[in-house]
Amino acid sequence: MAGMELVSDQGYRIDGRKPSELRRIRCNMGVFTQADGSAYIEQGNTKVLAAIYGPHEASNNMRNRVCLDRGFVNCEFSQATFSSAERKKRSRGDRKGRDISAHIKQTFEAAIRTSLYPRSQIDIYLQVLHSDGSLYCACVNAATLALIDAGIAMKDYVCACSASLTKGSSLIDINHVEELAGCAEFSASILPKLDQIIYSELNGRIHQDELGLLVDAVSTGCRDIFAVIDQFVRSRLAETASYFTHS
Amino acid sequence: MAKVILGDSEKWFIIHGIQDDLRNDGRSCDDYRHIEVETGVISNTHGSSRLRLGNTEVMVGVKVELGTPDPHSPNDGLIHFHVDCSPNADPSFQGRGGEELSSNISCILTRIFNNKTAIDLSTLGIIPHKQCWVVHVDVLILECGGNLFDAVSVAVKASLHNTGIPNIQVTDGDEGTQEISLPDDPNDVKFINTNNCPLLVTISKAGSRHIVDATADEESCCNASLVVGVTRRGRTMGMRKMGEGSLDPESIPEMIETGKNIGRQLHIALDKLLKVEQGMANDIEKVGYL
Amino acid sequence: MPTDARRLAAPDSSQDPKLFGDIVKPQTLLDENEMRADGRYMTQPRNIFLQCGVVSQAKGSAYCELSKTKVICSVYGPKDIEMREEFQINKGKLKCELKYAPFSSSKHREHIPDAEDVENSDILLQAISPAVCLQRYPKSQIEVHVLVLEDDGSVMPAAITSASLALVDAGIEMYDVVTASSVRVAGQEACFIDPISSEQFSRASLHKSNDINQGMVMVALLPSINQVSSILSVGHLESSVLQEAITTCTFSAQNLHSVVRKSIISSFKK
Repeated sequence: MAGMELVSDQGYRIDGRKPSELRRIRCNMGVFTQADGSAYIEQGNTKVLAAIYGPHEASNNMRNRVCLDRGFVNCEFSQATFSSAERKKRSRGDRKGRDISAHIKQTFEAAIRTSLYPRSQIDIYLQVLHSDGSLYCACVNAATLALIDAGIAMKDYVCACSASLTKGSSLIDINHVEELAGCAEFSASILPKLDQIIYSELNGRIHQDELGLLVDAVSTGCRDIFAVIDQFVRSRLAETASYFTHS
Repeated sequence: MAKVILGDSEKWFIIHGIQDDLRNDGRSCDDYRHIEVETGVISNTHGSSRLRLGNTEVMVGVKVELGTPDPHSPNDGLIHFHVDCSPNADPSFQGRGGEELSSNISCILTRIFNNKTAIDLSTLGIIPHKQCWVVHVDVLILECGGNLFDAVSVAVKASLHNTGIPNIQVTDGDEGTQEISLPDDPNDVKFINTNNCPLLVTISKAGSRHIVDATADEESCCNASLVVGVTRRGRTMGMRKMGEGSLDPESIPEMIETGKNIGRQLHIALDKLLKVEQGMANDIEKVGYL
Repeated sequence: MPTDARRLAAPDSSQDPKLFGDIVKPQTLLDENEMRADGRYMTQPRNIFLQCGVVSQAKGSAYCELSKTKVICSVYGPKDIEMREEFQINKGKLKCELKYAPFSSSKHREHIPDAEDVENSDILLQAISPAVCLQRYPKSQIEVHVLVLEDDGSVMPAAITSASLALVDAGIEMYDVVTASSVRVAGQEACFIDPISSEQFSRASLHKSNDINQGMVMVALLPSINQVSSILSVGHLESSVLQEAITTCTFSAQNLHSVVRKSIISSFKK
């Protein structure tokens, strides 16, 4: 198992955070002009770009997924070859990429009001520029911002956070080194206002009693992320609205 | 959606405007759009850059690895170009959709660097026949707003300028083998000399005139263009005609001249910027997409 | 790049035994008598052999031989478009594929096309597109497949010439044939027309101190209407030398026109 100390005796993690502390989140919306919606998020060193195209008519190779009463979501996740410490040869289409694409598609099909977009397709494209752990979570947060930028109706914000368990205490928002340490890792996507979990994933083995700890840690983390993202969206909206009033 | 669909009358409007030296955004035929370049944006690469040219967005990361040299040039290192078209730029790039475009861009980059002057690969050799530095230049296309070739080449030159290769020591180990040791200080690097790196200039033919730095709309009106690799001194390092139209043999020397002049100016502007950035080095905070 | 799962591949690290022999010598293109390695003068192209109608299954085909370089081209179509995205109401679509047989070059070539093969196919497509009257074949596609059987230099010009010949043989309407020629530049006044593979430009064979004006230029031309459909160059060239090389290439491609016409006429007479 973990050969190195994930939490030091003074209670600090490898990167100097406390166990319940999130990494610094910086974000931006409307990064690209050609996509219908786009966003950029940095969670510590994990940097993700999201672009949304849609809702639009289903493309030719996805015609078999068209539904008469609702829209469907198409997601593709790709990682830049220079994003990880060791150069990656395949940027997309590998096992891990397809896994994350499928999970994000599942997450957003639950969160987007697809009944408002019948017979349409919504594309979510995620590009990881720099990977340092919690890829799924950063991607979900970036996609949420991009969907808001695109003006697509959603039930609520979708915030995701990851947590790990070591020596009885939970670590929130794990980075790459902590991922490699081999402890159990739990990620979940939550609709903060409705207080519902729409996706969760556990890697590794934990005792049944410890599950509650992890879920609580992740919920708290997601609510904190929601606070940051919501504040950003509101300030951006106020800024945009001020352009109209000042003319 | 990101595909450019122009009606015939729109295309004629653009072409007639070009005949009068007036393009849709007010530029003349020889003007470039505003270019933003930032280097050192990704920390786990040895060199990187981000470039924005109008609506075109490109990011380049350079990683160096140890590898075996090519048997035909045992004393030289290797440089590989790899281009990835992200689906962020266009939904048709999903899966393997962007393969043709990325093959074209990576092959033309290989073409213009395929000589002894562009990059001195002998400085990348370590132990002849056994070990050398392999420089992987990875280009990521994030948005296509026209003129991809030029944008990619400027970003590649900026990132190579920014690339630091660790200063390694080669010592004789036991049994006649040679050992390589890396320095402890991550800042103990030597930079690649990019004084002779070429830049690509795309000259597109529209009617009887030619334009430089075409936007996506203008590109769909021009059916033939010439992509020329130009060095700082105005010499060519490779050239390719793109597009499904044909060119008049008399206009080719004119297009090459234009390419040379524009290329020289582009080099001067880029070198000035890179010098300023290098001078500021750790003082400025990298902006990236924020 | 996708890996080939159907064939047993040779080990990645296998090398040509010739590399273990003599040290690579710098190229000497002209010997004492101003003759090239195969006995030609500097501005003398190789003898070309062209024949149409060699592949019976294809709608049109052509075979081109430039002494040792052998290229065969087959044309299929016009036929229905396979992929719906490429459906165009006002004009047809031309699809080109340039493939090297695995045994064609001195180095074994993979079956799966790599980035260079994709680029070569694209160069071929852009070279012959201006000549074909695609607006006469709306909603259709025309497929051009070129296979290189042996590579002894000047493969792209041979491919382009044979492709245009095969299109003529298939009865596709065209504005003009396309002829192409390549030139090896080795210094200020030295343009070697139609280089063989030992004369071709390669980084490894250059002298470090002096690589200026060493390179290769290829031009594809529509001879009757005097339009250039493709131009390629590699190597560090001054613009005056580049212009001169382009002129030489254009002139050489123009000379090829009469040979191409003769072979078309003789194939129709049969």
